[in-house]
Amino acid sequence: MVFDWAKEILAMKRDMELVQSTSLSVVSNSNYDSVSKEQEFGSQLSLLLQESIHSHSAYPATKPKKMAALRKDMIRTCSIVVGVLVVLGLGTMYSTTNQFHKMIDFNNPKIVIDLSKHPMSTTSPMDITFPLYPERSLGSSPHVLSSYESTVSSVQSGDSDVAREDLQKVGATYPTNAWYENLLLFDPNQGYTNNNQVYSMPFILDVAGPIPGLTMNLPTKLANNQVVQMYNIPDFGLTIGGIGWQEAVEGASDKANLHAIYGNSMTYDLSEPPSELGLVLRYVSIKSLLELYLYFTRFF
Amino acid sequence: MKQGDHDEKSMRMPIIRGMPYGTMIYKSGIKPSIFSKSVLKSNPIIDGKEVNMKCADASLPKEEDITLIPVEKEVQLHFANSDFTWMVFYSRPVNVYCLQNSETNEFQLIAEDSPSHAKNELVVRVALLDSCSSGEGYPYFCENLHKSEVTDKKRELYRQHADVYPYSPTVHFLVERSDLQTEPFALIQFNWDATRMSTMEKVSG
Repeated sequence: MVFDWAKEILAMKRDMELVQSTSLSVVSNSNYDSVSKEQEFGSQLSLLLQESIHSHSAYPATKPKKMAALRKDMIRTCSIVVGVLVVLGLGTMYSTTNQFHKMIDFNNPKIVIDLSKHPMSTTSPMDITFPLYPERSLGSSPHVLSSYESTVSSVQSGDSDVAREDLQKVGATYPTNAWYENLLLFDPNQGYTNNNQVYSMPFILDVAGPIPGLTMNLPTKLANNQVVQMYNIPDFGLTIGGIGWQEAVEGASDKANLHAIYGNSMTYDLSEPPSELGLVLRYVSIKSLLELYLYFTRFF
Repeated sequence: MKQGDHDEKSMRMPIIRGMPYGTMIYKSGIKPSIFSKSVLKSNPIIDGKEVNMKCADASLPKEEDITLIPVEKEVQLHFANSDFTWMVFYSRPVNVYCLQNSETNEFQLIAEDSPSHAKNELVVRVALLDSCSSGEGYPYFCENLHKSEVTDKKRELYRQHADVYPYSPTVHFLVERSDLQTEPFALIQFNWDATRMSTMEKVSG
């Protein structure tokens, strides 16, 4: 009996294997008295499953009405969102325009943005977690780099009277790859090397030389089919420098015409802040700096 | 009292990109020296006149060998090895003497300032007049051989503009916009911080 009933179910729902196995499972755990109830239950279950399958088909019978309603809802929602965005956008434009109008006096148009007085950022690199390398670790010319930091910071802060310690707190980025970088890396105590040259047309300039000063070398080009090189002959250069530094240190040799010996009696720093056009470097005797220091400290 | 007012031995060099002159500003006893690793090929021309200048031995300079020669404005030097001719301009009259070492092939032109001007700054400028003065120099520097007329014009040009030098130049970027209908424009301002070396006064635009 059970198997006959099951066969009928299979014949009716041959395309629904899930229904078949479910019904069989239920029936196998039932007794004869409950067969009719199970049969009714199986039929209802199969109908539910059928409906479920139809609702996932491509063209369900109930789809067009629901989709139309859904489409209307979507159109209504989109209209509201677009409306809100337009209102917000117009408000922002109006506000910005008002601010711009306030910034400019149209009757008397003036310069409104002066980047030289309003640098792009005054934020210290340290404040945004960029490491500011201690000047000592840069090695070769701590003095000139610290003077660079001081002069640049005074420009950025716009106050030349700010104490040096405060300026160092502000911090100044080092001029990596700036056209004058090599000039700042010179250390007079190390004497002459060829690592402190810059090419600022028309001359190759060097802040070191046989005597302290500025050496000007005229470059020329050496070219072939594959390479164009610029080179100069150091012995052809002319140095405009100064002597008399040995008087600053007692006991220095009168023949102190070597840069390394002069280096013991003077120092080298940045006199004016650098720009894209130029900078001013300074040689100053250590004795003069010492006298200046003593002059100021005698008041304390 | 500011640091700049202090009697410091120093020299400052404004380094300007594209400058045809080299400039040095001396203060408080530093003697201006023009140094070359080449001896002179011909007598120097001082204020337009050739002067027979005898140089003291640089390896052992003796005071009696030093001859001071007054210079009003300029000196022209022609070097042997390079065949380069340089012009040297002084901001005020000075006395010059030279040291020379034939063994090491070194030459120095040293300026003595008047003691009365010890507190004032002295400015010296140099400019390359000719890289192939006699035509016997290094071939690569003789590619653009000038006629003498061109060199004369160049000399005059250097003389005309030697007095004014740029010191600490700055670049300002200015953005101006008169109204919303016109396009904004930018103005780049180059301030050369020009100074007249004869008077040490700033040159206003």
